[in-house]
Amino acid sequence: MTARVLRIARSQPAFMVSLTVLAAVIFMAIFGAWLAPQDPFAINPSAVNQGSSAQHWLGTDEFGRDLLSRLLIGIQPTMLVAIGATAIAGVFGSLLGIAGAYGRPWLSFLIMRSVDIMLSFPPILLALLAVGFWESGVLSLAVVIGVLYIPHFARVAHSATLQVTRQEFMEAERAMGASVRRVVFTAILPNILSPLVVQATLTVAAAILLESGLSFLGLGIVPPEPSWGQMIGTARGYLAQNPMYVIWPSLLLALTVLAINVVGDRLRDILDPRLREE
Amino acid sequence: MNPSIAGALLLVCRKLLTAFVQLLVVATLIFSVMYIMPGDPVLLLLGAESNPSPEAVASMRSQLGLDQPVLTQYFTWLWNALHLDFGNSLTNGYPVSSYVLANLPRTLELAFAAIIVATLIGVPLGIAAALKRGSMRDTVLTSIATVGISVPVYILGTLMVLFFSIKLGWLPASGYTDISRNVVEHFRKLALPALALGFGLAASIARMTRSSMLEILGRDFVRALRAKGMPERRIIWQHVLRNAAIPIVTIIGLQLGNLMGGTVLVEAMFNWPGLSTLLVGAVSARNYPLVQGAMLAIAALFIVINLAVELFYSLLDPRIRRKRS
Amino acid sequence: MLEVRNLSIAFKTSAGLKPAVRGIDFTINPGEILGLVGESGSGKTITSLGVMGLLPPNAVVTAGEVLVDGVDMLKLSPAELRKLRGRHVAMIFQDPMASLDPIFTCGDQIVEAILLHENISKTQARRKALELLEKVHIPDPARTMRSYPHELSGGQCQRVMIAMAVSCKPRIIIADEPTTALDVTVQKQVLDLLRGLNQEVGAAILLITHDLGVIYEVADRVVVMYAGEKMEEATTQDLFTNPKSDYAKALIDSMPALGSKHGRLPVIERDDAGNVRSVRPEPRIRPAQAGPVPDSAGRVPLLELRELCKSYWVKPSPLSTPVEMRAVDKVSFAIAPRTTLGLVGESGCGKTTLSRAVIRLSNPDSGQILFKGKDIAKLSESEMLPFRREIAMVFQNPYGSLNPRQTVSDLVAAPMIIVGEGDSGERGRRVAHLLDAVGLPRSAASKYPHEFSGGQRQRIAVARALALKPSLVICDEAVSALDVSVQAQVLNLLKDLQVEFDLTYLFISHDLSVVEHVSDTVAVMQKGRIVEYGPADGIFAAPKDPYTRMLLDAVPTIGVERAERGAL
Repeated sequence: MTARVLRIARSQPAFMVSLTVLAAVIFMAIFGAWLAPQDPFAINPSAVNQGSSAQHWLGTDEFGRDLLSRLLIGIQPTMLVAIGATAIAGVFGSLLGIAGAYGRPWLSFLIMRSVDIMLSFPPILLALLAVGFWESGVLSLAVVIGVLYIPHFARVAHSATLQVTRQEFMEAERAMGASVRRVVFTAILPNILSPLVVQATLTVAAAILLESGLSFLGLGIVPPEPSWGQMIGTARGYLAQNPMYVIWPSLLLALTVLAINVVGDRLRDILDPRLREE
Repeated sequence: MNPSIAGALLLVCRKLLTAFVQLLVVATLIFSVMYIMPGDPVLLLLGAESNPSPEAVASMRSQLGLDQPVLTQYFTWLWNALHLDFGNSLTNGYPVSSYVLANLPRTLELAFAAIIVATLIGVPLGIAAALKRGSMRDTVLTSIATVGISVPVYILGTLMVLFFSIKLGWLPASGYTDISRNVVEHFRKLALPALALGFGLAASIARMTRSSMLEILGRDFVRALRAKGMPERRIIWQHVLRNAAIPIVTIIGLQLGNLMGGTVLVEAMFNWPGLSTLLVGAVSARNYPLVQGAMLAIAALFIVINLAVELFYSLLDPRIRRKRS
Repeated sequence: MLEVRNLSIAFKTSAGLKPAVRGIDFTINPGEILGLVGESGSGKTITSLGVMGLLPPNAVVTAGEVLVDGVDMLKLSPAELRKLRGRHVAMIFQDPMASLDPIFTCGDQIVEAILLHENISKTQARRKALELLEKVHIPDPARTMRSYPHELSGGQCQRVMIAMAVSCKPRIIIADEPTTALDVTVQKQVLDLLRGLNQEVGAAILLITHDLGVIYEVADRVVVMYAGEKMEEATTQDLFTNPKSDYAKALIDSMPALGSKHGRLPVIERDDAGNVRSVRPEPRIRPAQAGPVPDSAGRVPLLELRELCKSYWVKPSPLSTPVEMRAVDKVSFAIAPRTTLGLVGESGCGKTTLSRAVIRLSNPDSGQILFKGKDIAKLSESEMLPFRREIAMVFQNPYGSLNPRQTVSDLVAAPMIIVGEGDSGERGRRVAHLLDAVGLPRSAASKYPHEFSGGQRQRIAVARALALKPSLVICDEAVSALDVSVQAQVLNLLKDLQVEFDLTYLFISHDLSVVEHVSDTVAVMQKGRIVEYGPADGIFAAPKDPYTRMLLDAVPTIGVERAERGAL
């Protein structure tokens, strides 16, 4: 799979660029603190809301802190939340989805109806409720967002599993007397991996949007710790004084999500079994 | 009775029942969330730091009905909610329902305005891209759509404020004016939030319109129509579009449901006094009855919209309308 | 009237143009039926699409002309081409249901087709549509006018398609596998209809099919295609009595035909120079290590069904109470060890439900399934396990029955892994032995299913079925998805393995010729019941039940005079 993805990446510039952007963002998330040219938390009341200068390449925020440094460390909490949330949603959602498609009728009824009901809430509302009453931090955000995306994953795993179970090799497995464990791990999982991988990329993007949305509202990552969404939310109050303050984090955030979406789209095409057999 | 009418009736009944059950479960969840949340709501309300007197705690407890058994509380709450009585706001004692009823139409108005913007932009672009698959036009349109779905609504909104309000001064940056007071001002203030919400949605509607069009264009019957010598234009308008309309309408309807989520951020950033603003305010103020009322209203709206979409969808498609066993 | 000259079509691939059709010539004269026959991948369908100018976007005509009354269709503007389509040349497709727009009634669609090329009022067009439906012998034309495609059967949809095709009295009708998706009795009706219309309307027909029997039935002349090239063009009479090309000869030979029973079917072989020829392989000799042939005389049948029933509950309309639909209704039969029972019936007769019940993929409602004298009908899943070693199954679809994510060696070893037999070394040896037995190279073990052709995949499925040395193998339409020449190979293989591994087959098929070829005993199934059961020779020579007779009559058979058949 990986070899195939890389081979196709070479022939598609947009995909290649997106992968590069993603790699850069991940690098930033890991090494941002070392890359930061100045202390991201150092307040300087004499240099508030400044534009670009030799000292502050991207200017300063409302407390005179260096924007570039804050941007560099601002992706780490977002990425941690997004990856943690996707891991939680991916593991539990996939298992529930498979059980919903392959389990006994009462179990699948229970699971899929619960999934339907969970899906009838917009995720941001539940997240709002949860972080509004709980303390908010990287861990709780990851858990809350992860739980909220379990039903989405379950839906995808469910329909993919249903498609697999309709194939004759599932009957062949049963006719040979295969155990449930064998059926799930050798017949179902490898065959639904492609849609799950695609769903994982989409969930990372959605989790980033959700986290940054909450932070934008002031309910996510708690200041003075920065996150891009939170910086955009704060910068909105200084649109007239320092328009570039809002532009930089917006640009970075949009670029990151765009890169993930392009990768997800391409992966969907590459992994689509209908397109694989030529 | 005509079996097809009977089938349609049965379908409607079953969908209504499902929606009702869904609403009931949602209500139960909303009720129980208050108990799952860590900490004593009463202490949270009074502020644990201020060390409230036991009398104050007890009176607050009975005011909220928290001194009764949980089941009694639950059924009382449910019964009242059925009568649109969600209790009174903790901050000023006004009934929650009056807030909900006042804010609900504003959220709906914003959502509908956005969906109209999104449909008017998204559907034609999606069709245009699908009809020239693989062309330059298709590539450009799909790229724009991908960018569109990637830019978060609050970034788009902020940039629009920066441009249209601060730089050009054409439109007010935020706020709300009642339509009865000033019609022009009302719509001027609606414009930016509706556009911000609508653009992102237009992108996803365009993408999905394109893929449903391509799916229909690849079907055997389109080839059969060409073999009959039907002009391409007529194949598209008469057959492909009408077949594609079914999934497209569904997509738009489902997006309308998802918009309830999108309105949260947009209402907050444009100070649009809708349900989400109400909810965000209530969450920050720990105003439990108001939170419950607003949540239930939003969820109910979502469920009702989805129900309407599904019913409309089944009436549109003869395969579902006529045969359902 | 229609003349195709030196037509070449290629597919655009990332590696450049890949030719699909190479220099095809043929002519259709007014009023005749020309058959275009070939196996899958021979380029016959793409040829017909090229003629109509309906090639998919990834295919291009690289050379040649398509002349209709002297006008080259390939040089026409889209508008001119459109006028020709439907009016002069009409087309009928393989999947009739999918070829109708699902959201319009059949009546509206026929009316629309008429109005496209004829300048008459809507009322007149409706009247004409009704007449057309009567002409194609639809049971209730007025109701069909109001029906949506999904409310009709496949055969009825095909009649609607035919009505539409003849609506403007076209000069030529191109029919691409018009009966492949239909049952044999319906196929006969549709073919009769096409031939009748050909005589009545006078339209020439280009009939594209893989089925030589169909060609024999209806075509006046035949073009045989193979790998994108024309192999032979002859009158139907000449082709079947005296085929000139090696390929045509081989193709006709490898088809199991009713009433002509051979021990082995000839298969098509291709030598290094690319020449094809027909070979009748010698049966394999029972290997010495298999031991003496077990004496089975006087022993109990290996499998015996007694009054087996399996029902589904369906609602005829949304509000009515569910009614019982007996998919399998009191079925009884017995299979002696090392023999083959052929179970034959049309789609929906319950033969698949029966096979699933026998291997206990579903639970029968009542009755007994005696395997070596022990009733397995009511066993629990765990009690069933030892029997799963003894009963194996080969499924219809060689593309769907193998897990695409497993290597051949994992696939073939799966039954051994499941029951925990042997270590990996022993399993590896057994897999190698099985691959030898089914005629696959040992290098196949490390490959994945998608690297094999349909026939090879079916061999893999057979190897897997034999992994635990079962005594009963259920073949559910095991050769139906294969081309005739590949089908012959797999049938030969099954016969060889029966001798070599002492196998008993329950062979389920809709194809009477194949069933006659393989079976010792035959059971004919209709609407869940066994209507006739007995030794194969007896049933095929002198069918007693009217349904069996009807089935046999409907099979297009080579060598039987058409006039004679028409009289039946």
